[in-house]
Amino acid sequence: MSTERSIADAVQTGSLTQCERELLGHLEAAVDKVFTTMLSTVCELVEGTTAPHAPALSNVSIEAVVGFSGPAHGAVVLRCSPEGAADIARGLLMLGEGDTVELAEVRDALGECANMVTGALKTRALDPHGDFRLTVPTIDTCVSVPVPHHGGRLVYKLAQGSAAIEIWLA
Amino acid sequence: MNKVLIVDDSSTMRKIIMRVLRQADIAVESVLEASNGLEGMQQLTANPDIGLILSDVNMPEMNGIDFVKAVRGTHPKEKLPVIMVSTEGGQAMMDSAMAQGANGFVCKPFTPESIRTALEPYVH
Repeated sequence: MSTERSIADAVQTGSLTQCERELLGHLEAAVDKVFTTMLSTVCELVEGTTAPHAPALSNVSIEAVVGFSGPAHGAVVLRCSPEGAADIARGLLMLGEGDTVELAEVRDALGECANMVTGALKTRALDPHGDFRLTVPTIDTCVSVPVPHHGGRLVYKLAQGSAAIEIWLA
Repeated sequence: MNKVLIVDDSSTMRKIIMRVLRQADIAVESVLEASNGLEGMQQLTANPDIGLILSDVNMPEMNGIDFVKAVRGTHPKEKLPVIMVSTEGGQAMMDSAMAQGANGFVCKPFTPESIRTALEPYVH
């Protein structure tokens, strides 16, 4: 994101498309940092789309949400297939592919993964534009997966299953 | 080092930090856990021989900044090191933690080396 224009400015002026693209770039860098530093799993970016073009997701079973507030408001959402969620949990806990993880471990690991991605994004893209605060992660099973109004989505293929990481702007 | 207290609302992160301590060959008698600052204070009261604390910042009930402030009410910086381990690595957050009496700051995601470096001055 350029230093000349903040997210709040972009929301007010309606010039979100460029802002969304820049945010997705920062989100991709944040995901890359977290996955290469903390997870022992393969992570391949297969798709990146800004909100109006993001198709509905299928095979999503669990999501972790970390909200941010400040000059702009929004959230980072990590959505996973059952296999992808277990893969991320095993990756963080340094377990083998065949190791079993309990649902409670999966939920906590997804929350922490979303927390680290959001923290890295905040440092890169939000902090230069003002005082932002993060919420603690909330984890839920997905009933429906709405396409965010403003923001974008990155979809990753993992060693097992898949994951989507989205940024929403309120 | 007698006892180490890890304060983080994520059990995953507590396990990761415990693993890093083992990988770094940091000899500790035992590792105690707490999921927020309030539990951390309870652990500290029950275990006065805790020699090092690693604490998250963004936690429910009592966050890490308030926790380190509470710790410093009874334990001076020189006697009980507190290292913050947080996803929020902005300068303002680090300044706030250090102003309340934290001894160091490690940003998540972290490498084992960054934890080892942060703990080196306090581990014998």
